Amino acid sequence: MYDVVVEHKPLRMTSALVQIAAALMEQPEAKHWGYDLAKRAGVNSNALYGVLKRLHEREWLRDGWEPNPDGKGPARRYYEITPLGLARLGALLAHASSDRRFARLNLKPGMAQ
Amino acid sequence: MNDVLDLVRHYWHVAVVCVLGGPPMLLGFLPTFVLRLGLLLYPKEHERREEFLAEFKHVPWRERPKWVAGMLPHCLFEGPPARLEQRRQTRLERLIKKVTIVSLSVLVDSELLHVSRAENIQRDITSKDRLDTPPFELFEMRPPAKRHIWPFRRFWKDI
Repeated sequence: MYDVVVEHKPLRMTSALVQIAAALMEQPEAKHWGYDLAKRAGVNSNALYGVLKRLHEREWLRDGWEPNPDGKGPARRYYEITPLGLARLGALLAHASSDRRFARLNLKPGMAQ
Repeated sequence: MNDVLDLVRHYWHVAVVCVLGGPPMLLGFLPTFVLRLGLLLYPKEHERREEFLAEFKHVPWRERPKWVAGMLPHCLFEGPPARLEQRRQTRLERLIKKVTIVSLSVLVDSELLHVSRAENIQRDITSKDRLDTPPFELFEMRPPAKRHIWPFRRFWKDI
């Protein structure tokens, strides 16, 4: 009936956020799993889930549950980039690549597109 | 030195148990136990419980203690606020329920609503409490009596 507009605080640019954004943008159309993403981004799992939560709240990511292939155990949660997230994460990486704080991360210029 | 050797000689079976049981304990039981303890901080139906457990199965054995140690602060800082939020939500729902019941009873008292027992309910299926009260009552709208169209009008006249 009513559209609820939630105002989020702007994301704080941290190296964990930039690393995760870079790992997500390496495969923008793929499904991303928590542990694999943490490995590829090179961040602690604790930092990963905090960032994923913030990105999910802003609808830059959408999530889903995939049942275990062998049918045992709980379903696994995956994250995918939304069209909004694709644009925002690209802009975030473009901004980070020109920021001296993140120079050591060796961000590729093509990643932002 | 001899005392130490004597100690080892007499308690060698303790050392064997520690050497053989330590790794399975450290890599198998403890991480699972600690993770499940941490997940208890979340409310029952919270998605993180299932998510972390499923993710834990995909972490290699050697990395599990470190992974669980990394997840504990997350559980500590995300679980209790989620519980508080859920409690707040439950209280709000209860309040809405109470307000609805009170407003319904006001409408019944002011004769705008008529209460009748629901006759078409199969009594053998529906449950009753120990006082043999039927499970619910049927409220139906009733046209207001002619003497007062609005319930407060009578009240207004009295004033």
